[in-house]
Amino acid sequence: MTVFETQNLTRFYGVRCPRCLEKTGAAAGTNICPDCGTVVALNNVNLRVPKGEILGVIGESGSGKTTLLRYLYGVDFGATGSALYRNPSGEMIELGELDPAQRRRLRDREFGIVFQNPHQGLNFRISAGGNIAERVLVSGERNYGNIRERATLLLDRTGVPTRRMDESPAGFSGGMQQRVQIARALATEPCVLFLDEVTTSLDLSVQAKILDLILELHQRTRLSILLVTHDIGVARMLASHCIVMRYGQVVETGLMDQILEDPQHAYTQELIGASL
Amino acid sequence: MSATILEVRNLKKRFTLHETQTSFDAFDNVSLTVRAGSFTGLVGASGAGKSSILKCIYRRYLPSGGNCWFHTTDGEIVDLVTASDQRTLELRRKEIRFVSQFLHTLPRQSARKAVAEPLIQSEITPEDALNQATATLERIGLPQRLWDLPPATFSGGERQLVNMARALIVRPRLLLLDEPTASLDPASTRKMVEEIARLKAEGVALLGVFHDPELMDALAEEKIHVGGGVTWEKA
Ligand SMILES: Nc1ncnc2c1ncn2[C@@H]1O[C@H](COP(=O)(O)OP(=O)(O)OP(=O)(O)O)[C@@H](O)[C@H]1O
Ligand SMILES: Nc1ncnc2c1ncn2[C@@H]1O[C@H](COP(=O)(O)OP(=O)(O)OP(=O)(O)O)[C@@H](O)[C@H]1O
Ligand SMILES: [Mg+2]
Ligand SMILES: [Mg+2]
Ligand SMILES: [Zn+2]
Repeated sequence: MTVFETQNLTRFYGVRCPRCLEKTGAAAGTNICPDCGTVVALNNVNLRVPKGEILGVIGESGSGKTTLLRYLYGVDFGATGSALYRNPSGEMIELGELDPAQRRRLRDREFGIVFQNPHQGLNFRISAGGNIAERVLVSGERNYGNIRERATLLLDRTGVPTRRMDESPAGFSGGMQQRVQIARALATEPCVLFLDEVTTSLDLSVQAKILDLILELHQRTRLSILLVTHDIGVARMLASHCIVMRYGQVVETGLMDQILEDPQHAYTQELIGASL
Repeated sequence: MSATILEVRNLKKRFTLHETQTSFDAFDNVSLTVRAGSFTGLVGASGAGKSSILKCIYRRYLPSGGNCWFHTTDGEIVDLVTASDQRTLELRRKEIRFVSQFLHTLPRQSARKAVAEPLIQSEITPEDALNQATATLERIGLPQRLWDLPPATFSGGERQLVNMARALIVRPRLLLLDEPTASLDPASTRKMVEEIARLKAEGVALLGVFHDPELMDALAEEKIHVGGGVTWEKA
């Protein structure tokens, strides 16, 4: 079963001309149309995100990983092509047909996201607990006691000392800020979690603990996770499936260990070779 | 004769290395059958393609041609060469296990958790999974003082026992073995051989490689010779 299925998903940034698609992509070696200068951030992307699994999205800087994630999560509306989402009751929903309010409802009720930069995912003007409470409120809970109890539980589960829940996350370490982001993402009990380079700016030892936490959460909840990273080691540790992107295109998909041990595409061979 | 579990027909693996622009066959035209309760051994020179055959069946390598018909517990016949990634993953978790010379576990995970992990992927509670892991480690004979330590700190032989326990915890229907005794001392090797004999008695189908010809003779019902030269050509 899949949670997302895309067909010819394409995202342009620029004026566009009739030749943008054919003049960009992995074979062309660029994502910028030489004729009109348009950036083709996603170029006919076809992929399936398996339900209950961790899909690693790897590829070099600028390959379109974040663009893909932003569209599926629902903060970007500018893509063409099809992206179907299977909701928890099993209905297939075409994301392109939803209006911004409906996209927002999906983000609030069914998705969670963690960014590389905690400033993007957290409100530093309110407490750590408040950051969680905000999301619990969105899910419809109105009772103060229940909200506080849930925030405490989530912070505890993600390894944030609950005695610090009334402090602003501004004073927290980078690793702790990521933990608060993860707690916040989980507040509405999402069925899909989007992770964009969540450990990239952390020290190695802190990074390891966050990866452990994500894995533990996944084993317990069987959430579907879209894991964007340019660190193959991170993907190797967490993901069961993998897609490799280059210049806006998916050049290879497969089981994670198969991609690592028997990469097919020239670019994947280069990428894996360089990471050994 | 006992039930057929795996039928490999004309399996082929061709590697293409883009950087050097070379292609070569790791093996070609391999056919074999593995039955419940029996061990099929792969023999052949170093580089003949024995490991590659096992990896293609497990889809760690992508086969280039042929079929691998696997008969599932539910009586379905699945071609492992063309099965979807997700179906392959499900079969790996429940029915087909692979024991290689190397153990891949998460760096900070205890042996017990590493062994329980394949079960945590399925429906049972983490507590039940850990209990079953304990039972499996006991059966396989890993000293109890090691159960809660990470395998990264173990000797080669101890790691290999964890590797085997990880394969056995799901009670596989097909077990692929790639020199599982390579790093074991004589006592652990004996234990491993006993375990394999026990699995055969329980009806598990086994396919694999032992570098020790005596072990191979003692365990295998059938031996398949792999080889006939690797052919190199320009891509
Ligand atoms: N708002 C925008 N306007 C113009 N171009 C953009 C915009 N957003 C992204 N792009 C371009 O789209 C391409 C894909 O960007 P994206 O952020 O998806 O890459 P990425 O794979 O996430 O890279 P990284 O690993 O560096 O995060 C890049 O060439 C980028 O410059
Ligand atoms: N991932 C890979 N990429 C490229 N070539 C490979 C890969 N794996 C194996 N080969 C090549 O395929 C051939 C067969 O290798 P394989 O490891 O299957 O042999 P083997 O029979 O298991 O040998 P040994 O007895 O030494 O373990 C060799 O030439 C090897 O170099
Ligand atoms: Mg990015
Ligand atoms: Mg070998
Ligand atoms: Zn153009």
